[in-house]
Amino acid sequence: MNTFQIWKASLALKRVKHRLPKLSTEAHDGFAVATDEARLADTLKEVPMGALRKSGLIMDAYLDTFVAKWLTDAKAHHDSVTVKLDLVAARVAAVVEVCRIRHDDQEDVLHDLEAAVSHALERLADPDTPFYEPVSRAERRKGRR
Amino acid sequence: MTVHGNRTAGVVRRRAVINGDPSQIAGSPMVTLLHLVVLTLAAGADVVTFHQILMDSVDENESMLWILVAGFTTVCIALSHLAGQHARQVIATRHAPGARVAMWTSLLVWAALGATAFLFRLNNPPEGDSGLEIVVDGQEIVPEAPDAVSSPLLFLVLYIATGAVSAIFAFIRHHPAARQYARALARRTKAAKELARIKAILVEAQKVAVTVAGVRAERDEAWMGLRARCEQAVDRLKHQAALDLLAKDEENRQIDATRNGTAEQGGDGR
Repeated sequence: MNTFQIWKASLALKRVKHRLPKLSTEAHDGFAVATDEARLADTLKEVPMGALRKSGLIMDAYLDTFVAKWLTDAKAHHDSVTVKLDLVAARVAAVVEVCRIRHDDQEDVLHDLEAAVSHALERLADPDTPFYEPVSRAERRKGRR
Repeated sequence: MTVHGNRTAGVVRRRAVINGDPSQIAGSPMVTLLHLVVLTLAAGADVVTFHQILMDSVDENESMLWILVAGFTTVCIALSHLAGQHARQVIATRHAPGARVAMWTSLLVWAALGATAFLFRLNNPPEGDSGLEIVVDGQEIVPEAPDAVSSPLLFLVLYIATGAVSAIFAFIRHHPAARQYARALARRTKAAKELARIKAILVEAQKVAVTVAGVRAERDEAWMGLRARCEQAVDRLKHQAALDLLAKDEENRQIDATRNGTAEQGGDGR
């Protein structure tokens, strides 16, 4: 079960690593400030000056609306990318936690086995070495996993 | 092995402390393989003899018979092996409690099993009439029946020999402390490898977490920059339009001034 968890975590990590470069370089298709600005400037040049003077407020409103549409599109794209990144971050955090728990657990196992090796060596070198009743791991950790 | 004797006068002598053989922790020698081959061949010999005996005594089909033979052989080898192991523990200085009882029990059961098989074979010799008729010069010669004692005796000797081989190997190779150490060491090594593997994944995951956080921050910064660029672009366009308008006004004003000046000059001349 523990090995399966680690295998699953490792697999999730590989997926994240594979996906991360795409997310970090993902750009909004069809959105370029410079191009749109040039296009808008051309549009404004075509407006007769008389009309422009008369409709100065309308032109400002037009530009504001145009840029608001820009920003809305860009914000929607930014939000979708950040949501994906948050999802990836949550997945990585879960992997980190699983690995940390398993790491702590395995450290305990290793300490137990080091004690077992040490005791076995003592028994080998001196058959009079007494046996001690070991405290079970569950008891030592007081039910904590 | 080192022996430390306690020979002080007036003190109850205790058994000498014999330390274990630490060289055993180096692992099994190559001769172990030879032991295993010999034991396997001995088990094969037992299989053949038990099959002959059980074939006459058990009325079952062939597959069931083979299962029975395999079980019989395994039990015999295991009993002689246990007898050898416990004999080693009995003669060891720090012998395990109950080793003597276990040794004798194994030995007696093993002997009883062999004796039963021997007696059965002795009382039920294989039938000699094979249906073969030999006719020499018109006279029929009946082949002699096999000796009723030699075959069971051969079986008994083989049984004892295989049992002895198994027991002696167990006796020689029984080093529980060294094996316990080797087992503990192997498990410790495996656990250390597993810990290293988990640690590697953990470190990698932590690095990826930092990278993801960095990408997220970069995205936020890029968004702020984009918004600023958009706002600056629209301001630029507005200012550009205002400037164009002012330039056009200035141009118109100059044209008007020029036109007015020309008109005044024309009026004066008239």
